[in-house]
Amino acid sequence: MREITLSQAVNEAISEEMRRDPTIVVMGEDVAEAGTPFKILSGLVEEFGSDRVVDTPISEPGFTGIAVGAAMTGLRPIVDLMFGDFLFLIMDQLCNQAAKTHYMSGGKLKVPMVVRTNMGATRRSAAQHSQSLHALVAHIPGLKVAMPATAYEAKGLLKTAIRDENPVVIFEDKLSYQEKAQVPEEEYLLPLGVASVRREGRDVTLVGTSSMIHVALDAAKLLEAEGISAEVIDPRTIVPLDEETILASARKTSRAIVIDEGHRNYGVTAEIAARIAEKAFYWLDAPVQRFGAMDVPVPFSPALEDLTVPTPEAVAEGARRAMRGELIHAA
Amino acid sequence: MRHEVTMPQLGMAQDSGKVVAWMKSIGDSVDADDTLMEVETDKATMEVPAGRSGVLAEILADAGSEVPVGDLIAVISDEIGAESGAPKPAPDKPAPPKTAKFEEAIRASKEPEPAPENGLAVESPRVAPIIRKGGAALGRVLASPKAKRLAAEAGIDLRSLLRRGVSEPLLAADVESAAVAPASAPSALGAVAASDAFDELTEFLRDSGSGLSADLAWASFVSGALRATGLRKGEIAVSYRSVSAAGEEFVCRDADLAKLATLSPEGDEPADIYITNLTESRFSSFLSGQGGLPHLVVASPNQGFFSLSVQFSEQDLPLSSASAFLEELMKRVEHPVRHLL
Amino acid sequence: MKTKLQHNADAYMRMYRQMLRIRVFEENAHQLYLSAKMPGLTHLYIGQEAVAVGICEALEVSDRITSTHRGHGHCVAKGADFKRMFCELLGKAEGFCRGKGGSMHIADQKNGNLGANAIVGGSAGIATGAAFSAKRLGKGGVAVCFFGDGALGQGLLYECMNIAALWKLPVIYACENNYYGEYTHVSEMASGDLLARAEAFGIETRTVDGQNVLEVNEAAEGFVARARAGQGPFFLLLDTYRFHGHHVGDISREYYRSKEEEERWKSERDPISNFGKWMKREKIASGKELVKVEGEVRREAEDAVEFALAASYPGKEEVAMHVFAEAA
Repeated sequence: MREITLSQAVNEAISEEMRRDPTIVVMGEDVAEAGTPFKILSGLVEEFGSDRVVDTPISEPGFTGIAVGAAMTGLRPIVDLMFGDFLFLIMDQLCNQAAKTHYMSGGKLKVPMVVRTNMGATRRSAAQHSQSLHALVAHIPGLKVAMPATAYEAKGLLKTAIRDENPVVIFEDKLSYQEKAQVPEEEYLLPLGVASVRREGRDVTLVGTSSMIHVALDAAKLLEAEGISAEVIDPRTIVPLDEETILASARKTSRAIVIDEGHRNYGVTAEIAARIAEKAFYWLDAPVQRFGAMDVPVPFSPALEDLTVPTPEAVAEGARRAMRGELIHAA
Repeated sequence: MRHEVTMPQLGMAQDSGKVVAWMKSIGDSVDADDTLMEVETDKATMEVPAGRSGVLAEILADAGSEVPVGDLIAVISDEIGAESGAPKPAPDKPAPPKTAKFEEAIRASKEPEPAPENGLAVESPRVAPIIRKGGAALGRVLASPKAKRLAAEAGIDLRSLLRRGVSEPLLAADVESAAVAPASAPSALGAVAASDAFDELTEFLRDSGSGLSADLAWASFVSGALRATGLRKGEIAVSYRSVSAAGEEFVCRDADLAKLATLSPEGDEPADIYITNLTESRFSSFLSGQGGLPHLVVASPNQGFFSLSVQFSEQDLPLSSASAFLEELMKRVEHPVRHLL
Repeated sequence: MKTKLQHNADAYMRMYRQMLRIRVFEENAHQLYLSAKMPGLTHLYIGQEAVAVGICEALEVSDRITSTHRGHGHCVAKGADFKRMFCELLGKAEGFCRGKGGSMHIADQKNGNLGANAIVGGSAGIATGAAFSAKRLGKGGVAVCFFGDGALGQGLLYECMNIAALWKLPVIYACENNYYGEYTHVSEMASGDLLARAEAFGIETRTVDGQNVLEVNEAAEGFVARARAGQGPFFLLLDTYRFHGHHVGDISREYYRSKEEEERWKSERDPISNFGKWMKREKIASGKELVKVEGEVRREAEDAVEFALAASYPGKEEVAMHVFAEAA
């Protein structure tokens, strides 16, 4: 099968959908001729014109709000939010308006829109361009949240998100834009809320979101050499969350570790770990462990920044300790 | 039983509430969910449930009166004719504002512990520590949820795993291996020791009024013997029981080091060795049937002698170690004063 | 030959009736609230009726509006049915939003009301987005964004006006200056010239007397027609006044505005009685006809209140419904 980058996968997904549905528009800062700073959308404006690939001023709340209104009245906007960190700017439009409109109107109004943004540290971009803020929006009822790990997920999930009748926020890992993965030539969709078991195992379940799936897979390789068999699960979307797949795996292996690049406190790892603890408690042979970004603003210096993200070595050590029963006082 | 009903806080900045109406009269039986009264605050009028089932015994705030939040307004009692409560406050006397109550509470919480009257620090008597590692400290076995479920399904007592020396936390694998491998039948090694010196000590302790007993002496000697043999290092916990009218039963840690310490009897925590003392009874022998940890049975079938029998698993304790332990123990029993002082 | 006035008599009667419907609706809402039959908060539109009616009478059913927390007037003016409105205010299942929105989120999608918004200025994006859709879909639709002077403090409004001007969107920003944002006078909250805000983006503006339904309607007709023709956006500043407090519970309000001021607006600048007098003077309607209209409107409201009070609350199963929309 051919291999394309995550960036190309996103571009393909949007192009294919825009060809299919004339109500789809792309809007955001420098999305047209510039094709975004990451060059993800290059070529779209040439094919679809500036009426459908629309450059906006640097007004994140403004253009997000306009997208909400457009979505309520017949368009299907894809908003490009250049950095996930700018979510804080659009919180009212996303969380008070888009997320609640369908419910507050008793099901009369719908907001079928996509907010594409990104996450991920270690790009040396410091504290305001490196955050992974998906937990913020996952907390709000009415928003769906997708976290593609590779080009394959990026394309399949985005196409589904564009067709969804609800606001969907997609977090792409900005360090993965140039990572290649096998992506079929023919059209495909990936459903929201269906996890992918990336590797089957017997002794410990590693749940990894977005790029943390690679941390989990690398940890699994380390463990394999020691005879510990790890099962690796990519939830793909955190809202809706494929709880059944995660719980079934935790019940099978009796041990679970959750890895996510958001801050560890009050985040996605806490949510998933809590669900495992609530619903698979009597199958667990060790406390559920969590690995997330350190609870510090992301530092600039590479010497510091690299300390803030989960590593395969740390995850593998967590798995070993779980196997050995050393987690009476799990950190 | 009397249950006080106080003016609830229903708003964010509410200091008091007005009783609009009572939905129940004195003597009415009320259910916890029944509306007891209507209360009006700056925001709205609300129906307040009784919160308790019983009989409305007293109403201390008339409809229409304004009452500070937290003040007593009614009493619900478990049965009719229960004791009467506080006298009804005079209607013209304003109740202290709520803030005063908070201040009182804050003051109370800050007040230091009263100092000893003679001004000297009182040294608390040294108590032989009985807290053990792991879940024993909480009086329970530390085991994973899965291990507990498997043990329950297989009818295995998790404590038996601890007695066999499996370390906490108990995991699923521990339970699974326990389920397939039955405990081996214990071995036993017996000896006879002279008891005159020990009997004198017992008499002395009893007359001294110190509260100390032969029970502690046994725990101390067994701890000491284990330590002297090198069979256990660090803290040593002894589980002791006496088959007698008093039926003394306790677990204590490092009793040999505590010397003449005071003991607090404690529950059945896992120990390094078990002692069953038959000397106060007419029984002469006892076979516990439990494998794992060593178990010492003491009896006095004949005047002037103790019979000492240590039951143990040869997998865990070689015969040479068991015999060394018994030798050490006999030394202590026959020369108790030397070892206690 | 009919004069222009007589020719338009039906339209004037309709405006009178619509203003009266708002007034009577709000009077009933007020009573429902005071008698604790209506939960939550409510913000009455009484006094501002000419604004909603003057503008909405210039719109087609398919045109969109966005409304505010003081939104009952916009909802009525855009054509909503009383029964379903009262049901919504009481949290009943037959409400426009099945009781899930309430007074501050009432929406009437069929008549183009995209909903009241309880975030001040929060709908600027939605209205501008509706105009963006209208332009993109090419069906000639227009959007009106109602907001109060209080929203002039919100940055979102300026971002949206900037974008609307850049993209020439068919949107009209209708600023209802009732002089008070909650309990504070506009002069304490908005510095400089109010119109200059929109003019800075190159948006054409106009100030009108918001108590005069004909003046409002005439201005709105002009802007709507030009917006439809692709000349938008526009900014309309409407001088108006709320006769009641910020919300029903805002009773003692002399610390922020005097009783004399309120009395002056009520006696001299009531949009409904003034318009009624004008119609009688111009022989468009007799006093008897106007009384008849009022009687009809009051009956309509009474029936609707009775209907809503008797209506059912939504079933418990509805609490988890409508969080997400099902696939179309």
